[in-house]
Amino acid sequence: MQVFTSVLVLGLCFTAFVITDIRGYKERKVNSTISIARVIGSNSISAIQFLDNVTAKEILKNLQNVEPDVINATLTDASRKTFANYTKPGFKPQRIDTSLNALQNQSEFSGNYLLVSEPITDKGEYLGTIFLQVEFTELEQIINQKLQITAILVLIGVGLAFLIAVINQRHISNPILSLVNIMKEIRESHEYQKQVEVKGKDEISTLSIEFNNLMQEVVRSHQKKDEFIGIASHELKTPLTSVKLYLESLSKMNHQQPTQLFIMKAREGVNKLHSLILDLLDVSKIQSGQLQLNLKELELENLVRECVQEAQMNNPRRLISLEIEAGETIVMADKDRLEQVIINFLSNAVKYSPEDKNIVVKAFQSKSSINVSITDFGIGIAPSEHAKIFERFYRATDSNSVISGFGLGLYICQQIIKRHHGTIGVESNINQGSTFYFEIPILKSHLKTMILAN
Amino acid sequence: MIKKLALYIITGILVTVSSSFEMYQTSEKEYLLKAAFLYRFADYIDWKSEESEEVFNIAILGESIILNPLMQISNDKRIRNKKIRVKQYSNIDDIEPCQMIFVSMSYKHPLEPLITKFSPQSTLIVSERIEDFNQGSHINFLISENKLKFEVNLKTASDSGLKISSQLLQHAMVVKQ
Repeated sequence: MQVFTSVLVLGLCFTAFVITDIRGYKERKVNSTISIARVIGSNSISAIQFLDNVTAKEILKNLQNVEPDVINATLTDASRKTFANYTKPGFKPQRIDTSLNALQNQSEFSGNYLLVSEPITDKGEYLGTIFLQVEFTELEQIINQKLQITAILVLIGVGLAFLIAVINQRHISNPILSLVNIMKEIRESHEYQKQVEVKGKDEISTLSIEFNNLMQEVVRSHQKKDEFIGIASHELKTPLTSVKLYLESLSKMNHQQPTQLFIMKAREGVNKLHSLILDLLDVSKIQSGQLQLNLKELELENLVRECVQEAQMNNPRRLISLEIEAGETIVMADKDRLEQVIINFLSNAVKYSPEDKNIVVKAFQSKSSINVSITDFGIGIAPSEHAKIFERFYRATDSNSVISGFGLGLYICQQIIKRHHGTIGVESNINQGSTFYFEIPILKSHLKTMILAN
Repeated sequence: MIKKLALYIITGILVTVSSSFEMYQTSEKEYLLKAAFLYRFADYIDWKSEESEEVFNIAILGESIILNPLMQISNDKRIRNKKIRVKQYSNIDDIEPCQMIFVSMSYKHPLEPLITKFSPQSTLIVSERIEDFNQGSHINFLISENKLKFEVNLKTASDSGLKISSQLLQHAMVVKQ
């Protein structure tokens, strides 16, 4: 673009330059020819006066030396008859159109020729007119020369423009592109504390500095929000816990209907609220890096089995099948946290699939890890959403609004599995059900004993 | 304006006449040209004692039809911003001091008295016979290749204190040193 612009500008400049130059050349030529005509005219006065056309011819012949570009010269007398004429040797004698106004000095271009007429007067008396026909021998040469110069200068100009574009690229475009890349990276990774490198003192670095400041602001506001969530959930948890305890105690007493029903509904609500607050607290802990794992050797199949049993009890109308292809695999894990993950997966499966559909739980062992997956046959999740559902406060756009939740569960699961050095994921499609799975490494020492045992 | 137009016409006629041999034959036209030449000579010649005069006097010695065209010129034009007066004489003794004397072809007497009288006075003597030129006139008209030409005697001219410009000399057929 820069190069194109410079070519355009240079081209226009040089066209103007060449045109002006040619015009200047023609003007100079006209002026010099008029001067020559005047000199010849005044030299010819006496020749005309004394009817001496031999001398007049001699005078015209001198043109050959004075101005070789003159091809034809004609001297007319007062009656406008040809008095003397001259033709450059080697050229065809050409009758100059003497019908030009002989009483005025005039110049006109016809083709490659310039025709100049200059009246000859002596003491105000008109004696005759000198007509000169001049060839532009140098014009073509000058045009060629100018075009060459123009071509060279345009080339140099384009070269310079290209160079400037390259330098510009290095100093402007590249930093901007790298800034854009870092912004993209930050947006995708959510690592808002990442800073852009600031080089030099130009506008780009100002932009980078401002971007860094903005990001710091973002980080700060994130921190404030997390702090608030932490404090709020903590403060809410304490009174809620006592409400929960009292309600539990109340429910154990014998009540008549509908008191018993009301207590049950209140307990359900409080339990839901309690779990939401626990989620918030977890998130807050994760954000502040206070999520501590209580790692112990754990036999994962047992945990899975327990969780499935509990889920089956809570949802007696569902068929939850369990397939285990592993034996006594020991992992280093926080039992409560892993339980939290499995229950979360199971409750999601229940929430997002119709009651008449089965839920399949599988646990199988691979070479160095154990994989636990929970499959439902419900509404499924579009592939474009897969990465987002593990983000905080994210809920699938088309998810049923009847189903409540903050969208924190999967985020917490992801963070828990991450801290177990495992992977978490989903395989799903719209209306084709979903499979949520996690995979955590098997304890190495145990792996060894297993191999030995085999 | 009319004067100027008349001038163009006259000059036009003169030049046209000169270029055509057929027309040249009539002596009337020849004298038209001679008169014009006489008038032009004044531009190329310096007279030693010219400044004192207020009028440019031209004398014609002997009968000549040059009188009419010369009179015409004297009416229309001036020489060095001076009025032109033309007078015809038949006798050398009668000639009053003047700047130019035209010796007509019809004057067949020796020129010596004229030369003797006017040589110190710086007067240009123009003749139209080779005999007169040989006797000491400064400029002599002749016809060559059907064209009116003139010859110049530089010696007699400088004797009379006349300076003839080189521009005029380049058109002269013969220049006597």
